[in-house]
Order: sequence, then C-alpha cells, then structure tokens
Amino acid sequence: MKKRFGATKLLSLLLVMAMLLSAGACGKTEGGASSDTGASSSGDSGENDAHYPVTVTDQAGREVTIAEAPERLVSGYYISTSLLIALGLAEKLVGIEAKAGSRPIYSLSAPALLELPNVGSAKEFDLEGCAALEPDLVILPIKLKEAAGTLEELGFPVLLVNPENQELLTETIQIIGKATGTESRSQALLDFTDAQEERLEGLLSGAETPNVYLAGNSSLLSTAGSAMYQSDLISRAGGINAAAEIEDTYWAEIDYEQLLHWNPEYIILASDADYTVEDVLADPNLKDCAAVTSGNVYQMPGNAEAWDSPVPGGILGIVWLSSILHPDLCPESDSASIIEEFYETFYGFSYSESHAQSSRNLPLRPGLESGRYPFVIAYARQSIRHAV
Amino acid sequence: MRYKLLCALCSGLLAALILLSLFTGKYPLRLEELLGGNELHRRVFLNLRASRTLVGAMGGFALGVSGFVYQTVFRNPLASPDIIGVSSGASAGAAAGILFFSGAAAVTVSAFLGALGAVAVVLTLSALDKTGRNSSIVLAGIAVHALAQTVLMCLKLTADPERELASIEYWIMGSLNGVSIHSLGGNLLLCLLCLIGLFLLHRQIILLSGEEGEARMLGVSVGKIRLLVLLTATLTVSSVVSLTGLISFVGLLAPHGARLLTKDNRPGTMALAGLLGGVLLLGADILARSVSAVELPVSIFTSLLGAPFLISLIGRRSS
Amino acid sequence: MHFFTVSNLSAGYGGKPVLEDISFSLDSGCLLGILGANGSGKTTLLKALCNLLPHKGSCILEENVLEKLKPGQMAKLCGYIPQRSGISLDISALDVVLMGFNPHLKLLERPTQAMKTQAARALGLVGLAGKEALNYQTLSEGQKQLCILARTLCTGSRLLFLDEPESALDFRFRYRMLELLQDWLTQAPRAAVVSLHDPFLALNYCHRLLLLSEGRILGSLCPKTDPPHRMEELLSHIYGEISLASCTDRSGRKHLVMLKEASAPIRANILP
Repeated sequence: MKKRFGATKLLSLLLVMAMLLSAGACGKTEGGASSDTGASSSGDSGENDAHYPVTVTDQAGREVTIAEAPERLVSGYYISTSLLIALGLAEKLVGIEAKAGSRPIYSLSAPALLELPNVGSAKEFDLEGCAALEPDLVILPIKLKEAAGTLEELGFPVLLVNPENQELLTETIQIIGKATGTESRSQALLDFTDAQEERLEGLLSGAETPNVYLAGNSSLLSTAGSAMYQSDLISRAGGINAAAEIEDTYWAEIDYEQLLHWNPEYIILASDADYTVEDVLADPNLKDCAAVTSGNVYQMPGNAEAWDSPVPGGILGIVWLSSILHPDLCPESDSASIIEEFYETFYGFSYSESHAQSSRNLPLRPGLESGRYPFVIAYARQSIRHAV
Repeated sequence: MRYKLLCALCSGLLAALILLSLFTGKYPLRLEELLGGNELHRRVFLNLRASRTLVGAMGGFALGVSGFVYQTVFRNPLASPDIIGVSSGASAGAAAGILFFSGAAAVTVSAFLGALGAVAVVLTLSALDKTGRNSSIVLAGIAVHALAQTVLMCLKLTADPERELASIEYWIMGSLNGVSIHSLGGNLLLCLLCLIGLFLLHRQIILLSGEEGEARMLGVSVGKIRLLVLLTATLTVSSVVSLTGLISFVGLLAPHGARLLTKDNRPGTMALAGLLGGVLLLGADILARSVSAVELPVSIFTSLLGAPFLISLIGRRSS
Repeated sequence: MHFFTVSNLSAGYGGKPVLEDISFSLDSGCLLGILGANGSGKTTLLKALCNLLPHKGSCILEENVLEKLKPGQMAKLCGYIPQRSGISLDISALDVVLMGFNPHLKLLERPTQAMKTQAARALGLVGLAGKEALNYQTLSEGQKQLCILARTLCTGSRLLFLDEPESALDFRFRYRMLELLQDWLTQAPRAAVVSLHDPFLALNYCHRLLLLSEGRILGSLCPKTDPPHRMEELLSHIYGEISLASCTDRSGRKHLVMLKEASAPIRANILP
C-alpha cells in the first residue's frame, strides 16, 4: 500500500513539474525586437478634413457614430495598425494587437508602437485592458464581433474591419479615413495603388503569362487557390496561378505529384515562409520541375511587411512580382524606386537603407532569419542565373 | 460536525475569492468611482467583472458537483463528463458552431446541443444492451467519444487554419474571458435548476452507486433513475462548458478533494465538492487574467492549482 | 393456496442453462433452506426468484406474480441479501440501513426522523448498537453482513431471499442471524428462502430444506420429522459419505450433527 502511494506521489509530482514548465513557456511574452533606429513616425497627418460627429458603416454592417475627432486609438489588427501609420496617426495609437514585435514595419516607421500596451489577439482579446486605455475609437478585425459588442456596451465606439482582399482593403481604408478625419491622406494611399495597377495593366497587356506557383508560409506544398487574394496578386503581376483549379478559400495542402503535374515556370515563396529558396532548389522531388531547372524560385520580400497579404502596401508585392516575371517589361530599377517612394511617402523611412541595415542586422523577426531573402540579393541571384 | 466546518471554511474562501475576482483585472476599477456613480466603472463592473466572476464561481460549483455525481454513479474514481461523451460532444458542437454559424451565442447553443446529442447517442446505444449494465454505458461512451473526435477532426480539416481553426483550438482550451452578461441568463438558470435537482436526487445517486441487483431490490428502477441522474448532471455540465469551453481537472479533482477531506458521501460532501470546484475555477481564472499581459487559458491554472492540492491530500491520507 | 409458489423455473447465463425445471412452494412462517455444493445453482436460483435474472416459469407470492412487478412494488414485498453487498462508498452504517426505506419513499423524499429511529433500533437488534455513525467500509465483513440484514429487516417485506448470509459470520453471529430470522418469521404472513453453506445450521434452524444438484432439485426434506436414514441418503448425494447424529445440549434441546465418514484417500499431489 505504502509503495503504491509513493509511486502515485512521484507521478503526480512529475505531472505538476511538466505543467509548470509548459505554463512557463506559455507565459513567456514575445520579446519585442525594438530598435530605436527606425525613422520617426511620418509627418503630416491630414487632420480636420471631417466634420464631427461622423457616422460610418463598418465592414460588419454596423453603423458607428464618432462624436469628436478621435485622439486615443486602439487597433487590434496588424493591417489596421499599419494603415493608421500610413495615415499619419501612429502617435494617436494608445494600444495595439499582440505580437507587434514580429512586424518589422512598426520598428521601421514607428518604433514607439512597440512600447504600447497590447490588447491581445483575435484569439484572446483583452476587454478590460482595452477599456483601461479609455480609447476614443477601437478598430478590430471582424472576427472580434463579440468583443466589439461588449466594448460598445461599455461606451467605446468600435469599427470592425475585414480587409480580406483588394476591394475590401480599399473599403477599409475609406472607412478608417473617414472615421479618423484623414480622408485626403487615405485617398492618396488609394490613388498610389490605383496608379500602379493602371501602370502595370498598360505595361503587361498582351504579355505572355507564365505559370506561377505560390507556396505558403507553412510548407512548400501549401498553396493559394483562385478564390484567394494571392491568386489575384499573381494575375495582376502578369502571371497565371498554377493552382487556379483549387477553390479553397484558405491555404490548401497539395502533394508533390500535383505540383509536378502543374509544372510551374516560377515558384514564389510567401514572405514568412519557414523554409528557404535553397530548400526548394535542393528538393530531390522537384528536380524536374520547370521552375527548379530554370532556377526561377524566389521568395517574396518581407523586410517591411508581408507583401503577399492585403496590407496597405500590398500593391508592392504585385510590383515586385511583375519585375520577376517580366524583367524586360517592368525593369527592376523601376520597381525598386516605386517601393522606395511608397515607404518614403506613407511610412517615412527609406526602404533601401533599412533594407541594407536589416540584412546586416538580423534578425528583425526572430526565428525567420534563414527564410529572409532580401530584395537585392534575390535580384542578384536572378541576374547571375541570367548571365549563366 | 466536521463537514459543516469544512463547508463553512470553503464558503468563506469562495466568498473571499469572489471579492478578489470582482476587483482584479486590467481595468483600474476603483470603489469610490463605482459608488460615486461613474457610468463607465459601473458598466465595466457589471458587464465584465461581475459576469466573469459569476460564471467562475457557479461554473466551478457545477463542475464539482457533477463530477461527484459521475464518479459515484459510475463507481469510477476517474469518471468525468468525458466518460459519457459530454466534453467531446461539446467540442464537436462548438467546432460546428464556429464553422457554420457566427457569434458567441450560436457557438454556445451549438456546443450545448453537441454535448446533449453525444450523451443521447451514448444512452441510446447502451440501451441496446438489455442487461442495462454500467459497463455498457462506459463502452458506448468510449465509442461516441471516438466518433465525436473524428467529427471534430473533420471539422478542423475544413476549418480555415488562421481563424476558425485557432478559434476551435482556443475554445477547447477553455476560458472565462468574454462571457457577457447578456448571454449568461439561460445557461445559469438551467445550471441552477439542475444543481437543485442533483441535490434533491442525492439519495438516488447513492443508491445507484451500489450493485445493480441490490439497487433494484431496494426498489430503484435502475435504468430510469440512472437516466434521470445522468441527464441532469449532463445538463449541468453542458450549461457551463458551452459558455466557457472545456475546463480540465475541476470535475475530477473537486469531488476527490471533498471526499478525502470528509471521508463520507453525504449531501454535504457533494456541496463541498461544488465549493472546492468554485474555489479552484475562480482562483485559476484570477491567475489566468493577472499573471501575464495576455490572457492565458484557465485550464493551465486549474491543473496547476489542483494537482498539488490533490497530492497533499493523498500524502496526508497515506501518512 | 401456498404463500409462495415457484413453478417450472429455468434460467441460465447466455443461453447456457444453469437451472432446469425448478418447482416448489412454501407456506407462511416457513424458513426454507437451500443446500447444494459449490456451483449447484444456489445463487442463480435466488437471483431468478428476485427477478434479477431473466428466466422461464413463474414465481407467485400470494396473488402477486413477481415477474410482473415493478422494482418499487417488488421491493415492498421482497427483500434480498446478496452474498456480498456492492456498497463501495464511504457512508455511515445508519445510512446503509436507511436505504431499506427507499421503497416507501417518493423519488425526492428524504427519510423521516421516525425511520432513522427505526433504523438505529434495527442496528441494535443485529448487535451493532452504537455503531450507527461508523463508516460502513471500516466494518468487518461480518458486521457489513449484519448491517445489510438490519436494512432488510426494516423494509417491511414479506418474503426474504438470503444468499449465504452466514458465510462471513463467526460462530456466535451465525446463530444470532438465524434466530433473528426465526423471530422475524413469527409475524405472519412472512417467509424466507435462505441458501446456506453450513449444513449444521440448515438442519437445526430451517423448517424445510431443498437440495440442489447441477441445477435440479434433488429432493426436499423436513429435518424435524423425516427419518435420519432418508436424510443421510439425500445429503450424501451432496456431501459424500456422511452420517447424522443427534446430540442434546445442557438445556435438553436436540441438535442434529452431520459427520463426515471415511472415504478413499485423496491424492493431492498433482505432479507425477
């Protein structure tokens, strides 16, 4: 009897220790890689071009009235946070979403954001923490509809946004521009995107459309079907999505046989991919894939933002890809200057400089350094291959 | 009486934790502002703190009591709501709710129906065995548990990994965060009624704990009464779990704690199991929302607080 | 019309017959003993009589067909003491006895004070006075058996089924248990069926004995009136070569004693 209890105790002790360890791991907060070297937050915030009170309809169809120009903003979504920076409102933010340290755009353009209290993620939103910040306006992803309702009851106006694709992102920009009284600046942002789209449309009309396979963040074999933003990105950059036949609305898993059957001419890795271009080139299963034999495997840059997602600077992903697919029609130097212009104008930092710095000064995002493929290096590789 | 003293002690502890819970949180709530009629403070207090505290205390109580009932009826010290498929049914139901409907209310209803559905299937399957043995319920429970897990897996497969899948995983981890005062009413009323029912049925629960032939010869219609007791206990658990997601360990640990402390199985012991459950869940929730800058799943702390308590009790018993 | 009649009862487990064509009857006030070797079907018979086991044939108590009764009605008429009670919880001896009042209580009703007094008295009657508050699990096997007897005696039933109630009891309590049973039987209309391990008790306390062998009734005997040689012959079918002797105690009461006769030596060595 005695012995059995001893064993039980020992077991229970082990269990507790295991749980303590796991709790410790869970409790560890993201170490924000905050650097003070980034540019200060962008200059002119196009204030006062709205007459308050303003009523807007958010992307959940709710009517929200904002009584006065909001001075204390909370953003619970990285896309809206990035947008608020672009609209020159970084200084008015008093709280942002969790894991801000993993977004290089913050440290590049508004490092002060990394010091702000976080209000949690879409999984676990911190209602009380958010209320404690006493915000004038809260912007949340549509997923946090319940939290929005509760905050509204507490008396805080909440905008729900859903920037799932290009059109919805445009709408998001318009709504937030109107609600924060920065309509002229948000219009400028939209105009920039429209201008680039028009430019590319003109340049690429009639051009050949190569087959492009876009590999997702988690593995080479996850890809975006035709219903996704990323598929749109490929066609706007003058390519055809190799996985267009897939109709999933989220990253779908395929197998090697399927990939070989599609035989894409280009393989593009998502910005935050956990694997590298080398991994793909060295993959024995892909030896005979057209993209691998011709060396046309690239990773979308993610030094500032993941351009393969509908962020305000998402157009830059299209601009970048157009130079990869059609270097003759869309020269890389043009693309590089467009990218430079965008970040100078809306985020107040120099992409090429920060870029050189980040490649010396890794990692901006912990754990992903091996996956980082700076824009310039990718170009260099391409030129070398072309020369060979 | 020893168990009266223990009950009083636990009630006091629970009351203290309720007070602590009402004044712990990220929002700097101040008593003078609250009493001074500050509208914002009042709303934070009512909509966030009070509802969360209520769910913590009552949910813990319900889990403790129903754990006591399951362990007694199944004569199995490891019995938990999972033994007849409540947890896995609720998980599958919640996953379906997250995928096909939107809104917390829909997920709550769907989880509740999932739990009841799973238990209904278990009890129907076990009725196929005409001898009406406990073991047939346990076997049917295992089968339905596996089936519900499969359904859950299929639902997870179709879920969008970043949003829906994450929501499903997080639901399964359980949390008292975001329970709103407006969605509580129905669940808490049902829970309260079922708890009263369980206390009234205490004598029958004890009769069911014996051998089946013996219970029958004491005039118990074993099949019917067992169905009644199990359904009541299941309704109790489902009403809580559908609000909070799965909460581990409370239903297992609280009854053991109560029995080890009192060494009997009176209605007082059942109440003590409930009180311990309330203390455990509320204590865990206070930690879950105050330990780190982000909200942590409450189950981490129920296990973390519960395991040493159980070990100390076992240690005391063996010495 | 007999008090309790069993006709053509057959039962078994999973299609394998254990009891075949059992018929007997007993009158009010009768203590019927069932004797038989291990595996002869004594427990199966008692379970079938209690309707805990599906069976063919019928058991009729006065006008009631036991097979047709609901558990509640059954429990009001009949009590059952299994070989070993399945209570595995920590509850007090008094609470165990109070379980016996269940047939008289509604679903949500609790035992009254009068029932508690009666239960405490029943515990005193079986020799467990002062042990009301003790945890049932800490009682010895014999005390548990007595506690269950107390529970059965206070239910107010008319017919008792007892499955080897004496097996865990020591010398003194064996007699006490059978004397309690005999005393209980004096308030008609009552009867009891008891399977016994100990032929001495059976021969001296039961009014009638039913001899069971391989699921069939071998015969029945009345120890008080039957001639010894007939009893010896029947009993030796179960117990092997035996003889009966009559002894007288100091008060002049006669006791029948069963003695084992010499038989061929048994070779217990299994290994060659």
